[in-house]
Amino acid sequence: MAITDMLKGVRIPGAVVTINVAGVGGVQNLFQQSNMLVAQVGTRSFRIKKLMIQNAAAGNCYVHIGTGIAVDRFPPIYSINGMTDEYGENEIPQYEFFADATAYADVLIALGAILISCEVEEIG
Amino acid sequence: MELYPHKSGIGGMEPIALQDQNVALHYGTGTYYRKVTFSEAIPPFQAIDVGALAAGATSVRTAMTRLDMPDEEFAQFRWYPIDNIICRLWIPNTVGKYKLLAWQSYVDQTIISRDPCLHLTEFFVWEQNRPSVEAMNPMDYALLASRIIVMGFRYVSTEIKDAALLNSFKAGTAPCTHIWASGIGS
Repeated sequence: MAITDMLKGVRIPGAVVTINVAGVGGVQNLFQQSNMLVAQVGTRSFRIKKLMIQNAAAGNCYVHIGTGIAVDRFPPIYSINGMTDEYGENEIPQYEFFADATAYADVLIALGAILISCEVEEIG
Repeated sequence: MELYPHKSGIGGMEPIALQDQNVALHYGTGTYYRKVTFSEAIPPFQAIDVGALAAGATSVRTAMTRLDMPDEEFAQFRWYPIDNIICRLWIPNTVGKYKLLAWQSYVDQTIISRDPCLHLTEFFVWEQNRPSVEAMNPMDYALLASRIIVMGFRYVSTEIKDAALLNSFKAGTAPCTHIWASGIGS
């Protein structure tokens, strides 16, 4: 029944991504849109359901989540030095991604890094 | 209790006809009397992506070619959109479905809460007489896709030629399920 679309969908984790270059030059792919056989299976989009961000001594910074390079899809997330941030679907706008999700940090101290991963629900 | 494949009891979708059962398939002004020789389920799939839609825009009427059936086959489908679009259906391209005198009803995402088993979206496709859909974007921002999920059953059938049996169908004295694979009027 179509009502299953209303229930929790299939959740897919992304890889742990390391951002160790500050600014848009350090943008990393957070989750890759499925482009498998679009003519056979159709267009697949996704929504981010969970975000986990570990500030590995990167200094306080803003983490930008979006598409492409510097196209934010959420307001930037303020990450505090050494802290772990976790956001669930109740806290994340359910923006629907039709392209790879990307992330970058605006500033990093030397040798600092942001580790980030997400969990998505695919739609298609 | 009747037992047959794809049985789902209360709710869900059940086949319109079972093995060796007869249907009177109406398409336009024609009626095709068919006997079901094979049936199978068609799991939900993305039947069409009408494409990107500007804010407030309506797509062109787009044929759903993935729903074409081989010769001598028909299908029973239910559907719902997975993008925020309002969809109207035509079978064939110039004959509307879900029609009233001054209104043509539509299917949008609310259908999965208002009609969870999608009973009222059901339509039939006879051979390559595919439906067409128009998608409308009701919002103040553009959509990147306009996708529709379809599911149902496929039936392979043979023509019934027995004159006496055909007369019985027309007289209503022999069992036959009537289905419409098109709209009526314009």
